[in-house]
Amino acid sequence: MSTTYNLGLDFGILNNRLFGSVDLYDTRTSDLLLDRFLPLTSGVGFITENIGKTRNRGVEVALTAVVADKKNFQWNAGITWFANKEEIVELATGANDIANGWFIGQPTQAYYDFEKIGIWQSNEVDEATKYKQAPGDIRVKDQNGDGVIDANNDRIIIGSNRPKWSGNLTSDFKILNFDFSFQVFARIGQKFQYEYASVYDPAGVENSLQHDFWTPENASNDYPRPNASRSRIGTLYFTSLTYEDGSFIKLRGMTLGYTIPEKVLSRFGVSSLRLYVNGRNLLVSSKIKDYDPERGGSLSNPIPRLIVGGINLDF
Amino acid sequence: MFSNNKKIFLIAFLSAILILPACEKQLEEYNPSGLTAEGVYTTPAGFETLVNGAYSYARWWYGKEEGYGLSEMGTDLWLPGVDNRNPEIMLYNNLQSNQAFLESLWGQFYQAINLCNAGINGIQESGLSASLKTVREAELRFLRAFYYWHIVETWGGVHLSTEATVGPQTTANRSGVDAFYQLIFDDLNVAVANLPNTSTDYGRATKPAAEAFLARMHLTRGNYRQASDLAQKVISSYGLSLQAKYGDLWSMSNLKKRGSFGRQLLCGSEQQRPGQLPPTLAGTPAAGITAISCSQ
Repeated sequence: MSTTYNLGLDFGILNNRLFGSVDLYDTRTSDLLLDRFLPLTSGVGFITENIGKTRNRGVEVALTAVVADKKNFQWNAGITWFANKEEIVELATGANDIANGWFIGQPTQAYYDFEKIGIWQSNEVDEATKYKQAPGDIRVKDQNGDGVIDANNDRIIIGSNRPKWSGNLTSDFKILNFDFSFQVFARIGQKFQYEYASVYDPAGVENSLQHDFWTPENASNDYPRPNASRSRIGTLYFTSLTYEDGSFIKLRGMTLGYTIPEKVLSRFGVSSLRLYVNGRNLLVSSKIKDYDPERGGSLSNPIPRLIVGGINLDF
Repeated sequence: MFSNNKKIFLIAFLSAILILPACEKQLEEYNPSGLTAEGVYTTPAGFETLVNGAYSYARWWYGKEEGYGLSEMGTDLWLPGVDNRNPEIMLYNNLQSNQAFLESLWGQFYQAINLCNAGINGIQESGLSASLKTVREAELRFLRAFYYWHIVETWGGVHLSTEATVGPQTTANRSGVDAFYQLIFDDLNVAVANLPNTSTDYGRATKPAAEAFLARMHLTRGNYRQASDLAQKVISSYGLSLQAKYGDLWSMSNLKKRGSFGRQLLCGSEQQRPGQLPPTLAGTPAAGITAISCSQ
């Protein structure tokens, strides 16, 4: 059950050359129904239960401007921007539920794990030994500094796949018979588990991807030392390799078109003819190389870059 | 302005308008997937599915990679191949509790235990005849002992419960190994007392099976006199005998004989009889159990 408070403002100024809206909302949901995992010793893996209350607060802004509106030059531009904060306000169990990844004050999806700070290097043997590790192993942060890495005290909330904000910028031009438009999209502040990292196989059993792994000669801080007798799951803190900042900004679409003047067309019995080239997902900027983070971490079904040429013809 | 009374009347009137028409017809729900334990396990046919289901979990140890993973891979009978996917099981190299085989068996065994608990505690409401109640309860106790034995030998003194789970259970207890074996002996004593010598249903637990299992438990706990007596009794009293050679247990011509719960415990017999192992177990070398016998 949800209750929403919404405060909205719609406006248009400068003869409606600039118009837009601002929305503020606060949604409180109670009796949120989710699958709750239980210890397997009960013989019941999970139950679907009202797990608690959540709150979603956010702001949505939309602005559209008619920058130019002449006979031979038209230009419209638009911006939308939205930010949402999701948090668990109350849990039916009263306390944070680590097994299910539910933490008060965090979204219903949160990554709770050890924080990787690098790979133990050859000159850190002494310190690594204190943690019963060796050079080439994954080094995680000892959050409470007690000299022991343990699951109760040294895991933290790494982040969530919920973005801090998203935004969209669009622009359309029309100059004489040419038209040109583009769309830029940004999603900032989310994390995800990147499959590229999780396919790293320390045992080297299968063909894999290129990973910069540690060797005594290659002091990498990215991936641990290969070891034929270690599977992924047998590699301590393996999942800590996978968390990536998924923030990105991308040129999602761009179109260039040319409409052939009617004078030319009338001779051929054609009423309108437009030629265009359209590109999708042309440029992506993020911290992850050669990957479109809009996919959310998975390597399967990557987002394609498309370039399409076309003709619009009316008789 | 309305007075308070008038307000209440108005609200009541408006509510009546809103609510009354909605109540004329009841929503008739037909939900074929909404079976509940209370509904199913209180009919004889439903209860039989519980008992059959309780047998089926043995497959996770005796019919799948998980079982021989834990029971054999780490021994020197096996050598890792080039593409060994489970070095932590083969070599016990950094074996963690989240290892896939361990996690899978941990879950399956406790599901089996929960089912046995539900059956043992709910046998009176099963609607079965009195004589069948006794036998089915004995079968479930045999199985509970069987699964708890796998649990305690794999993980040691972990969670022990004789109650069926009804609500969300968020904690596990630690019980000593002795408590496990106490329950195993109690259950097996009931099973030995109440199971029939044979069964016309292929695969059900029988009295000699329970006695052979009990003999093994005595052997495990160092009660050698009881172990020996019971084992001798199983060999001599039921027309059973040992295989001439240990390897015959896995002979392709011996697929059914080697399988019965009882026979696995005592190396099989020459005569094939009804009352053997669950079909899911047929044709799989039951590593954990067969090992008992021929050393005696």
